[in-house]
Amino acid sequence: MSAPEVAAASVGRGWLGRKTAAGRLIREPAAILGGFIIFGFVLAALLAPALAPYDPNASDWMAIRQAPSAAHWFGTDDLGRDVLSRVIYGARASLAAGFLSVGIALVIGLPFGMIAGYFGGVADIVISRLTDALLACPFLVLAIALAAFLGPSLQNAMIAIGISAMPVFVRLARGQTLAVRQEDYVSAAWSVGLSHPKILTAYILPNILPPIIVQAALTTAIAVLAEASLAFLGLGQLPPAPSWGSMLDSARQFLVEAPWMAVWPGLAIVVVVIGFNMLGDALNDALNPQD
Amino acid sequence: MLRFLAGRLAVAIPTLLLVSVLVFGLQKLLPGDPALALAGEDRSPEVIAFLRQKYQFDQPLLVQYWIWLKAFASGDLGTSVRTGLPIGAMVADKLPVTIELSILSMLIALGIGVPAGVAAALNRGTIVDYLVGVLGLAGLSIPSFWFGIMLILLFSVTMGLLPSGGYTPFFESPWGNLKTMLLPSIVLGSSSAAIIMRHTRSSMLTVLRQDFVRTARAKGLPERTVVVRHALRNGLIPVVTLATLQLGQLLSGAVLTEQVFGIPGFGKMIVDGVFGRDYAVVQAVVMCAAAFFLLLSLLADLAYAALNPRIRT
Amino acid sequence: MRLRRSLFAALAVAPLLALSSAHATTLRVGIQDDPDALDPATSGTYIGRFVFAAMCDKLVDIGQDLSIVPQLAEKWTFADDQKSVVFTLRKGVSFQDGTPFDAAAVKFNIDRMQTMKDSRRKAELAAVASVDVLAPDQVRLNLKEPFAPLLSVLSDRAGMMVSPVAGAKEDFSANPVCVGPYKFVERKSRDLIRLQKDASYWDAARYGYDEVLYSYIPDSTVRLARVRAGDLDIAERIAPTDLKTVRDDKNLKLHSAPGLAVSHLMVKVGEPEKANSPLQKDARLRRAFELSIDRNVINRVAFNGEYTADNQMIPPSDPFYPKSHPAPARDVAAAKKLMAEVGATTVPVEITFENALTDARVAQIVQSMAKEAGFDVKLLPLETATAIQRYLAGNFEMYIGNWSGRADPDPTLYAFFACNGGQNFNKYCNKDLEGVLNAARAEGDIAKRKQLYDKATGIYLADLPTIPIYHPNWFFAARAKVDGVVVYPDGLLRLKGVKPAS
Repeated sequence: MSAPEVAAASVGRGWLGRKTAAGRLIREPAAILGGFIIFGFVLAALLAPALAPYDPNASDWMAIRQAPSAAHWFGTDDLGRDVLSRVIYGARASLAAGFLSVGIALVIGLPFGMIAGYFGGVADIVISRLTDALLACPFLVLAIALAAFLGPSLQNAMIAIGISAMPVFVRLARGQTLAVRQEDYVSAAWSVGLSHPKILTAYILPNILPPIIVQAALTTAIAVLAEASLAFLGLGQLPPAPSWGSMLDSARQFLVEAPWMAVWPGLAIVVVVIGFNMLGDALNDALNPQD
Repeated sequence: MLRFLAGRLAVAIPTLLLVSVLVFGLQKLLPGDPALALAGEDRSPEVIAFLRQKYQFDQPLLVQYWIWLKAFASGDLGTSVRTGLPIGAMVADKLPVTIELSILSMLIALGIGVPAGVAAALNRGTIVDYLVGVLGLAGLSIPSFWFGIMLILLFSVTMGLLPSGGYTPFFESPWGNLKTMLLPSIVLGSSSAAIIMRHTRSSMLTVLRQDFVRTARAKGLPERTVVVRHALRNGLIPVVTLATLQLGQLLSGAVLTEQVFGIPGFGKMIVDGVFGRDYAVVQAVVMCAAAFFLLLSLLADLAYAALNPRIRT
Repeated sequence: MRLRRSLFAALAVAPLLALSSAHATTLRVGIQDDPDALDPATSGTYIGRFVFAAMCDKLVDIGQDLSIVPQLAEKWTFADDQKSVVFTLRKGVSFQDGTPFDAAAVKFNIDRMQTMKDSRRKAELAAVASVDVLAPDQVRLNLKEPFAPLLSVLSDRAGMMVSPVAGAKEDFSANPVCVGPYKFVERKSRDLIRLQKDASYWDAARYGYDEVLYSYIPDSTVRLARVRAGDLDIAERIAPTDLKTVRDDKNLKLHSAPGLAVSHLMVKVGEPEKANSPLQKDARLRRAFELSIDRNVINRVAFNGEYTADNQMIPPSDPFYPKSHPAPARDVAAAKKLMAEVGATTVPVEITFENALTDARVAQIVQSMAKEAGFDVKLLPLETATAIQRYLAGNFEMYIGNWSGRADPDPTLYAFFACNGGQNFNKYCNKDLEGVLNAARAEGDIAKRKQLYDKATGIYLADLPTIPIYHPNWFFAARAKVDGVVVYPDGLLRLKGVKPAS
């Protein structure tokens, strides 16, 4: 896909018309379903206190590892806490991690990538080599090392994931900027003497955004998975606050006696990640019409 | 071709050096004195001071890095501070395990991904295509550790068919080895299978629309021949490249998979190293992983160049 | 269908083949940790001791009741002033490399452990002033002052004798040589350790396996699964929550023993000038905290009730355990009353712990229970190295300590409660208590020592610098076809008498 196509796609006639990206997007069932899933979970996270039947951290010492029942739809965990309530509250950690870590990756990655692509020269070499080095380290290994360095907490896990996901955005932004830089309208802006920051923000950024948005949606899916993985390894949300990954970690010990402890948080992760992936795919199709 | 190779190597070596600086710097920033972790329950100041000195934790950072780099360049990966064993031997021990796991996973990923992707492309818009799409999405979205837990729940706990973890060396018992590796390979291969499936489908769709396929069809060749001889051969070129790159990604996944199944491989070595503050081990393992990754991307480029006549120069 | 049948046949035959090919009997043991250096002088882990139990004899051993029994020393006599002890050594014993074991070797070992740079036995052997070789089978340890726990110290790593030939080498831990029933063959880091029977061992006839193979399997569920599948013969440290599975499996036998370890909530009490936590300042609040938690609920919820809920550092199974200080029952009202006395309604407490599942679970239960009395508990789980660093610096309000325990009460009580004790990182200091502990150290008479420890217990339970919660017990799962497994209170697997069932 080349940049002019994207530019053309995003300036079609009629905002939600059949030919515009947004128009195609809302006609895509995957987009609707994906959006619906994410919206549902965001709602659950926001309204957790109203939705959750119990305090997620309240223990009932007489009801430990109880199978799903009318009182506890998803059963109780090893400390007698309601699994449904913890799954609902757990959406907060997962979504926060998904959105914020991608935010971090974007805020750092995008400017660096654009600078590398726009100015070239030494800046490009330095940024590109660093990016190559980061990309050569396995993503999860990098995230684990960073999270261990920062210490276990949800906030640190988000930073670790954000930094680990950043190089992808640097590379993408750089490539896109390189392509867009050749366009006539950029040369024109240059010849009338607009400042570099002005050109970067007003002419380049809007035109490289579409593929970045697609990447951001797909990276959010990866970030949610990564947060769960870190929590699973004990590097995420601090106890007793619920997180799907740490719920799975403690569930692993009770697979025989209390399988429900492992089923629900895992399903929640799967559904959220499917939501982000569907949205990302649909965005990709809508922004890069091929057929 | 040679120039291309030389150019790539010229970039790969500084990249690797940069990785080493990053990892080294990162580790030295890690909180927690490794000497304390090593001292265990007996924490007399004497012992701690001795350990610091023994493992050169008390040297300036640059000196530590230089010592490490010199040794690394001469092939000495250092000594694990935990066990006092040479890391080179540890890597030689663990790497085959993870390589076996990766190869099995890739076989599973290709075995599922390619036929499913081709089937989806040939039956575009039908229920087959739709099912493959859903499977692909699921494969991408299921966290490997949860998938692993669920498979253990089903095949080990409920049905008692397969061991829930551990590792049997191949030469001790090939059958036992396969039994222990089956579930982890499925888990690790699932996301690669999804990615390969999706790319195979789109690549096949592109190829099926191209002139030479139309010509072949117009010549009245049987559909089977058209698909296998003409479309598949060309459609799989990007898939080969992709699979090579995916092999590098598998290491990331192996970290969790090995953790869930308790497999003493490379991924587990990393996690244990990070948690145990075994600097030298983390350093060595990440370097190996990065070198492996760079090698694979080189191979992927070569494969692409070799398979795609238009790029050959 | 045919394919399926042959597959089943293959499935059925495979294990048989594996069995018949093993002529030499191997005892396969699943262990939770990978041992550190295999050198009794530098070893610092439980799992290292676990492996040593099959490899390295000690001057004396402990019995199941924690009494001292002969091993390499056949008998010993303390001088009347308690300031020296003469050991008579077993004759005709040799190290695994053929070097004869004698009094000179004992002297070499004590010297080695006292002078080696990274020796961790220096503190344990600090009471030993010198060693005299009296005869090839007679050796005298001269003490700086009377030290009743000496024999107990010598029943652990400080009493393990390594070959003077091998011990003089730099790479001893890569090729350890002791006097012991099984000798070292190979080690693959984070994977396995293989030992082979030493036919020339003095008591070889009583050891039933030709080979011992330790496999490192950190996950207790996986260890259990593998012993159930028959891939292992013994799995150490089965999680209390998995015991039902072991008991229900006809092919397995559960072996257990009360443990010496203790898990306790250590409260930073010293350094009042840096005081910033209410619990640090007032023992009444510590008492209130103790009253707010229910040890039995912790035991039931976290450990299926399989551990021992208790309020003392020394476990009830220890012969020195004073029965006159029973654990107080949970009493939230009394806790609130104590807090009111101090003038506090909500009291903030931060619990620091190593981020492992067990401690995290205990911390969350404690948090939830203490909340009912008005304690606002914050949890601070840290990764091991960071947690230990804080612990050593005394940088905590409350810390979940896990102490492995010793066969004698002295090392535990002295380390935690003497003003300069080796584990006294909460900076607790009570001169009266220290005086009692010193008196107990010098007391040769067991009944009198017991009285002194009773008194000491009364003092530390009143000051409450730490709140012991429970003592873990040992649970090993073994195949039913392994005969003679006995777990000792130190959690070590002594292989004497262990043999394949006929």
